[in-house]
Amino acid sequence: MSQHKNICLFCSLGCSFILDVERDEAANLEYDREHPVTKGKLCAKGNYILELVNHPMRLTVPKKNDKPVTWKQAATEMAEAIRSARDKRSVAVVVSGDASSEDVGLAVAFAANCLGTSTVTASFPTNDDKVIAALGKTSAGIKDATPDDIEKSVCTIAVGDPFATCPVIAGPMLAARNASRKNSLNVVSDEKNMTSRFAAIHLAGSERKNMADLVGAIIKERGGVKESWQKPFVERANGAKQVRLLAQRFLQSPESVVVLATSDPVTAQLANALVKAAGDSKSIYSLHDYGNARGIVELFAPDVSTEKIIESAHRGELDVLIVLGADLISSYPDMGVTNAVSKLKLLAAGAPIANKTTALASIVLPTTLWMETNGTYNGAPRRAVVAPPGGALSYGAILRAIASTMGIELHVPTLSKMLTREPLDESKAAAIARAAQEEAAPPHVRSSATRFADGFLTDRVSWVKMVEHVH
Amino acid sequence: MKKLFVNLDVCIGCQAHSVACNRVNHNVLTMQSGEVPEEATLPVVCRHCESAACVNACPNGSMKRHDDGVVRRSMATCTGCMSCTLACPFGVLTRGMRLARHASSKCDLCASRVERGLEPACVATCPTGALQHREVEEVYEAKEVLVIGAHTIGHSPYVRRS
Repeated sequence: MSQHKNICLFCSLGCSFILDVERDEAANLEYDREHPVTKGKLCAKGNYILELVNHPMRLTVPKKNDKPVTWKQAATEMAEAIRSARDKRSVAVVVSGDASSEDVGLAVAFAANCLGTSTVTASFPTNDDKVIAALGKTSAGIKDATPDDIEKSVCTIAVGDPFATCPVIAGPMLAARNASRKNSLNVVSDEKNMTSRFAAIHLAGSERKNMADLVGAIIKERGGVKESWQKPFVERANGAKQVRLLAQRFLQSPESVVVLATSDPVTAQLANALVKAAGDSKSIYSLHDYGNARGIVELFAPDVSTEKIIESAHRGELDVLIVLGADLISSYPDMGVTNAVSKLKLLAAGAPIANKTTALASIVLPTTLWMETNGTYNGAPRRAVVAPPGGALSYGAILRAIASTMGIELHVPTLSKMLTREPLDESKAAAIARAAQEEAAPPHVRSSATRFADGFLTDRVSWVKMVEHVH
Repeated sequence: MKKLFVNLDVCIGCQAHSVACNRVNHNVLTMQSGEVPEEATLPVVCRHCESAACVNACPNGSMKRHDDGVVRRSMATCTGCMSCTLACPFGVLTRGMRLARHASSKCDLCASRVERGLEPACVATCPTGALQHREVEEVYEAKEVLVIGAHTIGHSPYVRRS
């Protein structure tokens, strides 16, 4: 029996655990007490990793219309479908957020070499790509918090319900709250939840409105705005006193952190505005910040998102969709994915265990889990420790197989090539973010919320100038 | 003597302990979760009482309090009469249907893990460190005991500071 350290990729935190491996099979899960950040803690979901690896319903052979086929036949089928597609825009690839950096690199190379386009993206739970876009492109000058920062935070503002989405983060957050009597944990959320139970100040009601009020209150505290303009923001709020109190606390306490657990891009932008308005030594910790996939979205395919791919399938523009690891139907329940994929000529879905998407796919591919394949995960190289069941292949290997059937050799883009890529065009980024807002924000919120965000987004002026600009 | 303690100040009710316990004890439910609505959540776990009602209720003496302070159930003699589940004042003991002979499930503080120098699974997994496996005397001396149940430490949910 050998022991291997590994990380959990169920959510973005990447908690560490130890896998006991016996004869290439996962035999036991042990808690990694030596890990500096998580100290071996796992949430309820993380405890199920062993069950996932050894699940009796793991897919083992590729299937076409429920009949087992060889990998060669499946690859040929997909390659032919890609060749006979109308044009290069009618083929799309979606890779799961838990793919290794190399596999996503291969997906990008696949899109560029075999499809001649960049219709490739990594899939996240609903709206996460929008949140990442909202944060990533506006966070210039804003510090990304580490778990250490959370542990030292004097005044933590939690947006949404971080305790429910990532319970392990509750450890450092509560440690910070209990470290001193001056420390406080505050929550901005739509309704009462697991986190708000521990809150000193809980701003209930609309998340966006409360965040906008908070930004307004902070700007007012710093004396950067005229009374007449500011008034409607704070006074109309439900808990105007609480908003003001929280704004004062956040301003006065150095080393404060905003923990973001919301899937709403406008709220994410407002959080950015909040930190920027409050000034130095404040930082943001986003729980929707998938370490593996965030870079890919920002570097390679900033214009493509899973939602856009589903929408183009709705319009009948897609012929072939290859989904690797992601379960689109469960991840995007409001988008009518079932309807959209019925318009495709070929849907190929790969997954470790049969899911709702593989049930609709004409070609079903067995894929490996992260402990069954070599690759870079969350910035650290890891090697396969468990043998994959049957003929399961990694996402990258599947794409390589399709490419070699088409007579193309795929290479992972090297790191230097990734880094020398041109940075994203500023105006383009602002346009994307604004489009996201227009979609998401109802009219009554847009007036207050987006004006703040816009100021920080487009003009990159200091907060005082921003206020003048809004005037 | 080591026992399980719960720090109500940091228990977020995530129920990870329940899953970990299930996993280690082969899918037998020995730990559940309780909730004081809108006030606090806490794991419902065997307190290994000094004068245990389950020990007194057991008709064939398979439930015993051992010298190390742990109340254990002997699998060999348990007939699954469920007297202990009726007697338990905390509602901790449940009927573990997957066990052979319909015996009731019972927390033994992860004896097999503690022997190997590890913590009980529920303590090891607890994301906030609310569940602790500590010497009783140490906790009592530190005067950490407050309200709700004999083995609860930290502030009471009713006097939680803001």
